[in-house]
Amino acid sequence: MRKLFALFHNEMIKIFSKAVTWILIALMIFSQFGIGAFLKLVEKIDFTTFMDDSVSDYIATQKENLKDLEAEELKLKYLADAEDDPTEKLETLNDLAQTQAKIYVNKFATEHNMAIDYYTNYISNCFETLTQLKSVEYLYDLSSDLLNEELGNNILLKAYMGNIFGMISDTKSKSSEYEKIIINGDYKKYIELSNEEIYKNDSKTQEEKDIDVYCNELRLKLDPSGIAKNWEFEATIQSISNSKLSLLHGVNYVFDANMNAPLTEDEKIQIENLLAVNIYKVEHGIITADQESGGIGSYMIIFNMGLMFVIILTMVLAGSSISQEIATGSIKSLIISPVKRWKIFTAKLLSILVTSFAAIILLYLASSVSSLIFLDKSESAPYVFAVNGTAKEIGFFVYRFLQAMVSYIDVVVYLLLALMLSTVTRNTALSVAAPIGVYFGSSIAVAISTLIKNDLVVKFIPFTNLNLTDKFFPFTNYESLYGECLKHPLSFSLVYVGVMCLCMLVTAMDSFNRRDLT
Amino acid sequence: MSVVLEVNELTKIFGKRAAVDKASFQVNSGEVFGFLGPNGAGKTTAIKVIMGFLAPDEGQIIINGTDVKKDYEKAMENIGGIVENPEMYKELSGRKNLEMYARIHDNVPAGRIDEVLRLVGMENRAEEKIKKYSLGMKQRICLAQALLHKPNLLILDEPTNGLDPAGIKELRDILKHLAHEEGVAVMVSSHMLAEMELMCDRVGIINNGRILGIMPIEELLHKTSGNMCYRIKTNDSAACSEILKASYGETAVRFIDGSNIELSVNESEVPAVVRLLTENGIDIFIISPAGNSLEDAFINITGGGNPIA
Repeated sequence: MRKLFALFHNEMIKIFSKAVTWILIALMIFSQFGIGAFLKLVEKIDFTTFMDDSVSDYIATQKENLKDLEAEELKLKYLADAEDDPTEKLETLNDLAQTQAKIYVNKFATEHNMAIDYYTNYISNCFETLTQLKSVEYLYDLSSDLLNEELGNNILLKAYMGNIFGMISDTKSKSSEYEKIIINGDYKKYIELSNEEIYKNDSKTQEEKDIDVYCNELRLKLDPSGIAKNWEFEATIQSISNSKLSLLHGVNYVFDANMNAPLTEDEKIQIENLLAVNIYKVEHGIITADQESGGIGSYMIIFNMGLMFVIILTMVLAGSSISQEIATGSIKSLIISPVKRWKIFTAKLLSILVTSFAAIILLYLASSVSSLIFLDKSESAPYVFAVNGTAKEIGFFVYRFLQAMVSYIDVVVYLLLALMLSTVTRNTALSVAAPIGVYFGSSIAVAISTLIKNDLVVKFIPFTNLNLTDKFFPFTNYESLYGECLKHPLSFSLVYVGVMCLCMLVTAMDSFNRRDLT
Repeated sequence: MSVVLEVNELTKIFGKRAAVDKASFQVNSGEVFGFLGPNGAGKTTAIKVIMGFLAPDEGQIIINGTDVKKDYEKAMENIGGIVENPEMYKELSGRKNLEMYARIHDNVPAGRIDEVLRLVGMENRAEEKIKKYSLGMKQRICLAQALLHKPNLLILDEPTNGLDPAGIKELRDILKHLAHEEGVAVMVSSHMLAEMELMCDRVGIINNGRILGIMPIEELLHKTSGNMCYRIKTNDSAACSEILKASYGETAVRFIDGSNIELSVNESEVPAVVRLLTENGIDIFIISPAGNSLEDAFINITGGGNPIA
């Protein structure tokens, strides 16, 4: 044991006598602050001034559109007059009514100094609804004569028109309400109207209606002005709605695209957890309506860049550790020492493990400091997860630390790959270059693996089981990834990675212990 | 005098060729044992097997009474050496390298590093990185490393490589001192006989992996005393060598090329050689002395020629 420690001590001295160690650590730290500063800089530059046009530009375009619409209206009027067949005529009138509705909304918007296409929030919905309502009104006006004279005894058309006539009084009052909402920016009224619509809808059950109204109330509560800029906010509420519906009907709406599959017991638990997490997030202000972007995108960019340097450092150290000593002959002084070979190997392995672990800790500290200095507060959000439907929270720094530890699993895999190649091939260039190639090729490999339809094959591709961050922290990413976790569970990946590491370790150790050093 | 290293029937096979073939020898405390053979004879392979670089295919190695196979760490505890070229960690200083080596051994007292550095004359250059050292300096620092833990068996593979004549003499004196005054068993390999003559007490001669003979250096010198090697240029060296082989034996004659041969005989025999050749119709152009006596003995015992072929 004393000798093993002495060997380990020596290996550490050797690692830190190499210039490449210091260069890669320096690059790693530099990348943390460099990219942080760069992201901050990018944020400062207001791209909207370059990319987006102002409202007035939109209004100008809107006025241009008006001319086209009016031309279209003339054309349709002429066509309608010329048409004799009542069914065909009704269709043309329908088009005409829609065009007239568009002209109306276009003029209405310009009058109030607004542009229809400028908005991405509920105002946009209001414009759309208004257009639909108006087109019903216009169709009513255009076809009232038609009903009596020309439709004659066409029962289907009569029923259709009767439907429009039945709606018309309601439609008129509603369109004026939507106009008021647009002019006053009254989000509360918008939600009220929306709720009314929900209750009127006979195709939904009471439970389904309750879910829709619940989500509307969440929207109003958390975003009283309705100005939500954060796509993730709406996506979260949508997810809550889908989860509740899934649980209600016992059908998977969340993970399964074809929406027919009944919920398995596992999926049910997952959906309950996802629901709990999403509700926790919106109610505790972890996802808010007004933040620019939600989640952890920028932090992961910074961290992953640093992780790349840690992995390269590990591969360089492991890939050269044995082969380079054999090539330069410095291994001789170790071999003639009174220590068994497995101790030499173990000391080398331990020294690289410890060095890369220290590098990961350093990376964790540097990325945390960098994110505090440069990144938006939303990047320091805690991690929320749920067990048995109860949401819990892990603080930002603890979460980041755990995440760094999970990244260390990948580091160990690449370490063992490089060490095994170094021991078996005794060729430094190969044993450093090959793992680096594998590392950078892994994203391509993952992309290709998505083309493979057979899940069982994908399951046994090594890269499917690497990069376990998403599997350890499934509630970070959106539900598509969360669905992947069901197909390729964490426990399988851990066993797979464990067996892979063991095989590489045994191969390397056996080769070093038994082969001659000529 | 006790046996420090005992090698019994050691065999190491590379592919189909036995690089070391049933070699047996002993090295005793207090002596310098020379391991003598031409390039490729199997010297380095034998040393690498003894030092644990290569696994033996057959045979037994006992160091200080411990079988290497049974307790590797105990057997290797008191062995020091240099194999082939001297190599160390280039990015570290000479002293750092020695400190690292000392750490792996159980009993290297403080101050021992300075002691060995002084012994090899490197005390002023120990702080420099190895990559700045010349070959001779590397050789010295490696010797210092080999001596660091006061081994009672020192194995040096071609230790005079890269040393200047003064350095060679110094090394010789150090090794003799270690063996004769401190009782260390020293094993030195070389293909240079002159060097062995001045350094060794006993010599083992190896060629094609086989030990051809082990004898005290005096005996080796005695065997060859008086004989000189002569180069003879004639009009027909093939016929010449046949005639001389018939009279002086196979081993005394060496064919060089179409006109030259070499012959090992006593100086008093030279007129008889001239007569013999003349009587057989051989025209002699030149007879000149070539090489030294030990070289001849070596060639005689190892069979001369190219041992690798």
